[in-house]
Amino acid sequence: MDNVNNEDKKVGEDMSTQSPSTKSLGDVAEKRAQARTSGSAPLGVGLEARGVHAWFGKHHALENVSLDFSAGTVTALIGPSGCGKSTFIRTLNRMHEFIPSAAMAGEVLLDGKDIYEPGIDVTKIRLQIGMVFQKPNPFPSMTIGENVLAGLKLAQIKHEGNKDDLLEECLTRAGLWTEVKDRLGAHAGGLSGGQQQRLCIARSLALKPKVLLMDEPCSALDPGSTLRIEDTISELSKSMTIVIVTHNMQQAARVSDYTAFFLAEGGPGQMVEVGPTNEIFSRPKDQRTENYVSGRFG
Amino acid sequence: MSNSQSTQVQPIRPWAASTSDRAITGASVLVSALLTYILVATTPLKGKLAYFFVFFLIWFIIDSILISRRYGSKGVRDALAAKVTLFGGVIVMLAVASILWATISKGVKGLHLSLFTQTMRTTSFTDPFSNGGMLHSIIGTLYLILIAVLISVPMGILTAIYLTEIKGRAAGLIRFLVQAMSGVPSVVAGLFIYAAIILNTPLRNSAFLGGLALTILMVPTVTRTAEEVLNLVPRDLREAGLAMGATQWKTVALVVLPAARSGLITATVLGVARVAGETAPLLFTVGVFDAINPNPFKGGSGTIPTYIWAGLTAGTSDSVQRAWTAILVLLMVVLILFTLARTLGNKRMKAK
Repeated sequence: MDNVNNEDKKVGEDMSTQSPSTKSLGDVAEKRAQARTSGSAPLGVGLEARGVHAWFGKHHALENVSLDFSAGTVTALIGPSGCGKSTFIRTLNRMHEFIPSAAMAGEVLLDGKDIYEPGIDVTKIRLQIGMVFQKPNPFPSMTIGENVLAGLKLAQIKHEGNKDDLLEECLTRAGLWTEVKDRLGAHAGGLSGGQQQRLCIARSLALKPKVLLMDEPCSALDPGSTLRIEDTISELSKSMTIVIVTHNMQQAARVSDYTAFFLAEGGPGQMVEVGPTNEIFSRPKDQRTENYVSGRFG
Repeated sequence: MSNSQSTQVQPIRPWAASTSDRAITGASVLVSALLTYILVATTPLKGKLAYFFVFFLIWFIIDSILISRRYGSKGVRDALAAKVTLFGGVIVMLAVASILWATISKGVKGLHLSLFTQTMRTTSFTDPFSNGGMLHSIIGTLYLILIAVLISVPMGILTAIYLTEIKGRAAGLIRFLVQAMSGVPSVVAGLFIYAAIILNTPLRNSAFLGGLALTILMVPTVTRTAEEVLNLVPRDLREAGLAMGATQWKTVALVVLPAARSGLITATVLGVARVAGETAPLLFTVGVFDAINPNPFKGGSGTIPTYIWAGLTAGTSDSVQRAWTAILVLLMVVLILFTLARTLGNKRMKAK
């Protein structure tokens, strides 16, 4: 661990906005952990990454990440910018391959089956593994209601039952129903950033995914909207597996059951440590994790 | 206006030009105009353009002196750059305005109702211009534009989708060819259709062949504009579609194209503007015809550009008057088409 101090300087500017004390983060995570254990048995389907590597051209961006996301848990991926968190989350629903020159190695198992198996229907995989992006991206040509139900058209699924019920259900679960129920026919562009992001969550929910990937879903939002989204995540975690990339360690402590710390020390990004969130924030095993979560770098 | 604060704060703009500043600017423009008038009147300089250039030169000098006294040389450079752009803008505006003015002032004399209800079937171009009309030409031009739009808009947009969405191996070559194609002189397009179709197949002059010639000219414009418009659609939206289990085709059809909708209408409008007034390619492919030909696939057809051409070449004052009026009608037809495209495009958007 002699080179830790050098690393401090390299990634120091990434997280200048946050200075949480380890103790309070640990407390927050502890509280969450206690609240979770009293809940019902987890539902949903687990996801498992085995030896995942990722490249952009010749640049080796991610090295040998193996991570289990057990069913019905929330896992936070934290780490400084450029450590491969976003790259990793994009390999989990095969969005990585849309970047030209991208390559990968390893396996990602959904319910025990490799999603990279040749001949597999990728679109079906993405139906089961939904994704919410960093920037809210509702479809601008559609109304609020059409946005929520867009997935049915896009993925060409026949919805059995009342579409209005589905619409209400998804918006309610995303915590947006009361705010938009009177203007479902309005264009989505008129919503605030936080509302747009919750609309995007509702849009993913309409497809009834088993896993939801969130790539820094709150980084473009104000604290109030962030809290709302976190409430939504807590609500959703009762019925699905969630993976969330975040730069906000408070957020990781508030919403996640497990936390994985990623770091790129000059080379490709690696996963340094993974564990129950309360342990990562109060008694991490690795010195680098300790430095990061205590705000000593990053 | 009851305010709890004891002093009422008035909004002001400390950065805006004060009244005296405006007075000085106004005075400098007036003085420049006066000096220009004197200079043009007393020297051999003649014509409207002389006024224009001399005025700008004098105004540059006077204004620069005023500005340099207040802001120094930095301010002068800034003001000079601003005036050069204004100069360019005014030149373009003058050109457009004088074209419009010439068309309207000369064309309006020949406007009458029978122009839109009659043809030249029983009238000669040299007859008094109150006789006959150009209904056949308007219909012919609308046919041509419709045929060209029906072929080139799908072709252009599909090509643009290949270039921006599929990004296949041939994308570079296709982009190069489309750019080369946009430099094809219009007469070559007509000649190509003539050589390829009229000389080699039983098909003879028709509105359809004219539409094909115009398509050659229109496709590059539509393709390039559509490509730029599609590139403006954020990648986020495509990824959102794909992440929801959509195929690429569904993402393009339901997300990308609707997001680019108004831009694609602009692409179509620009394409129509490119071809509406083309004359040369029509001479080989459509020919000239004096009556309405309802069949676009057989027989020649009148078109507004060939009507203008015939009017000008006939050479009498009546026939030239017909030509000017026809130019005005062409402008009106294009304007109506543009307005139609815009309102239809916006209406569908709002109706939802």
